[in-house]
Amino acid sequence: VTIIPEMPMSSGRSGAREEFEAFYADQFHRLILFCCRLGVSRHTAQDIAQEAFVQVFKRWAVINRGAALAYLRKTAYHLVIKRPAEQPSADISDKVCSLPGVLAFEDRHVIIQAGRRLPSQQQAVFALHYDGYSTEEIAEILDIGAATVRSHLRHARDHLREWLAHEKGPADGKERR
Amino acid sequence: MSEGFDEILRASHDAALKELQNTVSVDAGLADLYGRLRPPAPKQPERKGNGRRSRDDERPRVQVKFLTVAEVAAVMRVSKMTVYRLVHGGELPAIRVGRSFRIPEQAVHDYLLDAYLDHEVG
Repeated sequence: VTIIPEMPMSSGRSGAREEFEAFYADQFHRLILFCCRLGVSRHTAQDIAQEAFVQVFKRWAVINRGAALAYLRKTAYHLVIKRPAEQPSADISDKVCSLPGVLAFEDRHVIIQAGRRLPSQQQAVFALHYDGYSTEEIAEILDIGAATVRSHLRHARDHLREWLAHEKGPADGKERR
Repeated sequence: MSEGFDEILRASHDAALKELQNTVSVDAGLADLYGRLRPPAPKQPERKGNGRRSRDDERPRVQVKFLTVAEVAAVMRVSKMTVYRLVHGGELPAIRVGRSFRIPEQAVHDYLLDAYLDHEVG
């Protein structure tokens, strides 16, 4: 076995760690938003995002870098659908956030509101679509057929277009601000 | 109609992302992440084998905590010989106190964290 010190593979521990931290910095906020769009509260989303990163970190040495993004989303998706029912403490923090005049993060953004109007698998397809994943990648992440992805996407768009048109009619100024 | 729809959602997506970037710190997130990876703190690293060091309990806690070789061996579930080998091989930083070694607790955690990163590569 010959070891070539110049190879990036053998750049050692600090190299792998730096690589992971760059990946984390790039994906951290996107993943939180992704979880929010799957219908969990912001605090739960942050917690789940962290857990997903923990799992990716533990497998960082063996993960194919090209697949890391999809693996991260897949892990987060599974954590969201398998999470225990929200704890009472989460309700309290939600109430604190939704004091009159102060809308919680989840209630201020149309993109998150939109996701919550959909059934869970459509939610996931829709969220991944806006994160820039292709139909084939989404099918791979969610373990469903590409045709299913396309029809989910179509149903989601039809539903949301109608909802948005209705929503934007009477309360136009609300979203614009 | 269709373009307006996509436009609104994209703009909302970007706005929400920007808000998260402005309010949630990556550094704090990373610190939390490494905290989650750390094995739960051993309950009795303070347990004293000999009475001499019991005075330590009354002292104010200092920032850097040092462990004995036996304590490191207990945390890592290996023999003391393995710990000595790691110390002599330069894989675990340690300071020499008289004839024995003391290892900063942080160094042990770092070593275990790094072990995650290349357990399959090395």
